[in-house]
Amino acid sequence: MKGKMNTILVLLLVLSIAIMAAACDGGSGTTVGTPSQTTASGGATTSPSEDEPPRDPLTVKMLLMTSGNNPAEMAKVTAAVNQITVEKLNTTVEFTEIAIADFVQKVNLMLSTGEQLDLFQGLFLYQSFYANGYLLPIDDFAPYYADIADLLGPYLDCGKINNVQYSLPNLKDIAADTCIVFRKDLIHESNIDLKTIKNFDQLGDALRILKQKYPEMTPLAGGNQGPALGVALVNFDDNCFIDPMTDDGLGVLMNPTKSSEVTNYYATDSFAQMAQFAWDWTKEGIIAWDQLNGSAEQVRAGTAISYLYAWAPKTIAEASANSGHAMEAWRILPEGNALAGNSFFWNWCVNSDTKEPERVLELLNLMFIDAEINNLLAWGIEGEHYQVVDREKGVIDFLEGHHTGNVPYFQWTKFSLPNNFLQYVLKGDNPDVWKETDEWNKSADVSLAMGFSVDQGKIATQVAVCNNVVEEYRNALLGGLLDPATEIEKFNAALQAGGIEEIIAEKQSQLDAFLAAKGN
Amino acid sequence: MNKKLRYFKRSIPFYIMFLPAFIYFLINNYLPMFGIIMAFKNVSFRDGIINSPWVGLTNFKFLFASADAWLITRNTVLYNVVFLVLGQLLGIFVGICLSEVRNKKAARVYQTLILLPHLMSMVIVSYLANAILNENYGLLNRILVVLGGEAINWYADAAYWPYILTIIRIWASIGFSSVIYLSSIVGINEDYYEAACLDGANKWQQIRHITLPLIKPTTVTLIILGMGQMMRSDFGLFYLVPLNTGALFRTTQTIDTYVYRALMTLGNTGMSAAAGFYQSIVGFLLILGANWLIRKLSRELALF
Amino acid sequence: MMVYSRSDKIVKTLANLVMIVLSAGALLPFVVLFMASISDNDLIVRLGYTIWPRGFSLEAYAYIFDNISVIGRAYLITVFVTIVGTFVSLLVTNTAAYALSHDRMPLRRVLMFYIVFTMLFNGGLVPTYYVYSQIVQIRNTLPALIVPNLLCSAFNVILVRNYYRFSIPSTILDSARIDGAGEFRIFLRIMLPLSLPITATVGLLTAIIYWNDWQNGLYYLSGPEYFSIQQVLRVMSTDLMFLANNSTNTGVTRNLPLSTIRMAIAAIGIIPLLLVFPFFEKYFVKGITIGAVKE
Repeated sequence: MKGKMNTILVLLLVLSIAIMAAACDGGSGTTVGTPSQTTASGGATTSPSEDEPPRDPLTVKMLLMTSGNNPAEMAKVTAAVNQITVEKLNTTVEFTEIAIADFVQKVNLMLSTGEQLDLFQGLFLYQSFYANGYLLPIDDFAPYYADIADLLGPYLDCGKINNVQYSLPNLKDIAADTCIVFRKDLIHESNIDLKTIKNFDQLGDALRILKQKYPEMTPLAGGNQGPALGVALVNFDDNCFIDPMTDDGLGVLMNPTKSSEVTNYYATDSFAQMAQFAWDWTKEGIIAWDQLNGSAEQVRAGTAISYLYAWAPKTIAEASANSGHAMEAWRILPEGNALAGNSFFWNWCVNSDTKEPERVLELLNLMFIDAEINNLLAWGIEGEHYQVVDREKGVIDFLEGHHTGNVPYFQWTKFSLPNNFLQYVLKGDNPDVWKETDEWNKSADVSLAMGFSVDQGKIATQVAVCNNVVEEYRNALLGGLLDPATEIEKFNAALQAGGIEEIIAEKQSQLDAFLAAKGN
Repeated sequence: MNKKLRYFKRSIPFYIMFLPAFIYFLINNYLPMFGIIMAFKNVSFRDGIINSPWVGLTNFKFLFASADAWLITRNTVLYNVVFLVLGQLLGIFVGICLSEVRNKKAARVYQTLILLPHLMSMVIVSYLANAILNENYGLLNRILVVLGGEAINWYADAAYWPYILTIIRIWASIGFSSVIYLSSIVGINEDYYEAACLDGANKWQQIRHITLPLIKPTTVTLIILGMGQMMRSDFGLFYLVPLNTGALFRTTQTIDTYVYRALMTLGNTGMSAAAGFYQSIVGFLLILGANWLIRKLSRELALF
Repeated sequence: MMVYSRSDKIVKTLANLVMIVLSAGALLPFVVLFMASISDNDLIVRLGYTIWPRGFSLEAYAYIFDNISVIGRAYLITVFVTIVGTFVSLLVTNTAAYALSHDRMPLRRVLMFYIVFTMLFNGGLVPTYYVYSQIVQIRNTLPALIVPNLLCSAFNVILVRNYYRFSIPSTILDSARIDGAGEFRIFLRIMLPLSLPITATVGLLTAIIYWNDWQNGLYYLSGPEYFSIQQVLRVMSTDLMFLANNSTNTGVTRNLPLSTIRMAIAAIGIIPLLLVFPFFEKYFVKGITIGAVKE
């Protein structure tokens, strides 16, 4: 009797599980597909909408990144945006507001269960989204985003994965460049001229001067983002930046504009040199790593003088605001050395489940070229949320009595909007910042691996193991906690044991195949 | 057969009472369990879980491929054994102490206060731990220096961390376990103690001969259930509290932190499902074994 | 009446002493946390945390309560969810536990196993989300904060079942059954009152879990109208961290006292919960239960 009941119970469970599995599967049978309708009329550069008859209304759901406090008058702004989009495209936008803190779980869940979300950004999950097939290949719809392609120029390739267009980068600072920002007042007091510093040895001398003059402060600080010399991917031999290609830095391009040879960065002289600086300088006390507090926070609190930071034309203003002091930057490599690699963090992607990709892309296209929409989303409604100070230069200010904390529409996440270059600049900031950013983007060197993406399927085990090794050693070495004389060897032995050779070989063969296909 | 049927009939009210929980666990736990098959698949959600290709045991490889595989398992199990044993001993001890506080106001104050650590997230605990352990301004080093010792960089030497983590864990969980034991001590019939008193038994004898034997079922149950969690670890405790410091991995790396670090950049659903499955199956076998053993020793105390 | 011997007094004194030490050990870190939350952020960064405030600043609280309407509503939601959730949870847990405590119920072991099994295996987030979004369709409702993962835990069922089995004399049940009382009646009139210590314990632990939960809000709510206090606070603090640490990716400039906000957020989450404790704890005091019902 009991045995029988057990069997029934088990059967019941198996049955329910089977039903579930089948149900879960049902929603997403036919997907990644060929364009459903006739795409594009010729290769016209004009918007295809012009010669079409009036069309049906369409609702597009678009991700809008927010920070913790959602703007109070979002509904009002959405209505204003829709006035434009409905008039021009008969398309209504519904913004799915997701806090950055929630991004990973929420967007993942929405996509994996097939909820409607037509336009979204990938952030940390971009490659995982690609691997899961959530990203629609959009090459076939090129005419619908022709304006975006024009605006992006060569950076269009940043949205490619192995020569297929999967996404469209935001217009913002796209290139990668690194600097160290210093408190302006203190380096002037110490008579240090940043322009005369040419290499790390001279940087060390400058830090020593600062240490002597301000013994109670850390000359160069690391923080809870990482050690003081943490993310400076510099190739000392060739005086250029390294293209890490993937987040883990397992297999990099040491000289990305000239050579496509995938190298183990952790076995190079550049890494050893950097670790040696970290070790020596930590002992000397001219760098230090406070793992609890942000480095900008330390400068603000008066315990640190400088820290490593990404360089872009907006950097000085940004770093000065973050650290509460006027800052000055020392760029690690001479100007013109910025590197354009795989910038995909804020790229816009179209869901492969989307019913009408043409019209979704059309909408995105409009959002890239329409200044009004960009400024509605960035700053709200003119006269209600801000006032224009200088229309020609695009400078605005809050209304009287308003500030970032109490204006009923304030979006902290302006950088995530499609076209940063169309956004007004707040009074007091550099009004030419976008023009300078554009020029700086265009001046950057292009990595050979731009548009390349590694399929880690075959090397997942090795990557998983090596990730743990990297976590164990990298920051400890770059933070001056381990003696490079003995530990780099152990580090590399552990990487070897974890299979870094296979990772590099696999990346190399994929990269070679990519470059060959690109050449054709 | 008839007797059985009669038992069934008589038990109908019990089945009805069990029904809400039965349905809840069916929906909340058993329906989603089909997800376990992801451990054996190369998951692509767009293709659906069912249509994703089978990959056998590939997803499990990364758990054993590392040179540290043994170390990680050892750490996880050893910490759990220590936490389980100390947790019960101290839980019982503090539970008895609490029950011996007869001043009601004082008892409530104590109960409230010892549960405070249970309310703090590990993020906050990691900052508070740093207030004590920081090399420059931490409380511990300041005391050491005053006593004439040398300041120690606690975050650089793995040897200290088994003690540090155990202390933090006990500090954080003692309120929880002692309150559970308190509830079963409070449930002991007062008559027993009164009778013992009349026989001239002192407090210590009462504790030994009445309290301890009567809370044995709770202890046994907690230990059996603890076996099921042998391969799991509190991620916050092992990742956040040591500030993700590489130099401490030898004593702070557990299965959960290893998996997290391994999959950070990969985001591989199949591999994380495999890790969960591995932890579950070992826990499952341990719980079956423990229950079997207890059943041999005392039928009544076994869980099932 | 109890007779107190000398050894009893020693035990009592020792017990008090132990509890005072432990309470201090639990309280001190909380004092540090609270003092940090009213400190000056720059001083905290420079000097670290301690048991007195470093400088004095309410900037952190000012930032959090900038959005007082959101916080107020979130508190209300949390209180509602905690009360209703704890109540329903206790009901489901106690009935199941009572059933499982009954020795002569056929299938008892199977059902026990059914419960224990849920502690070991789980299908992962996506399948669970699928069930609650597609089959039970609970998203964007208040039950979404109460039901998934929290309503009933195997651990609690087993704790209560143990209490019924080992702490309540079976003679009481037997005599009630002989008097002709039905099982539901016995459960409500005898078992529930007799099990107050364990019910209060499980109730307290459940209430804490409901109070502290933000994951259900994260997964199952798309709009902020039902956000609980922990959800609001969590989004606030993680976003602050993100914006502060990823300015390379975000370009956001923001001058906020991060260290003190973090602590203020923790304090705001914990302090109101302390008010709930005494409500449960009055049932923990020894000697009030069995005797009270037996009369």
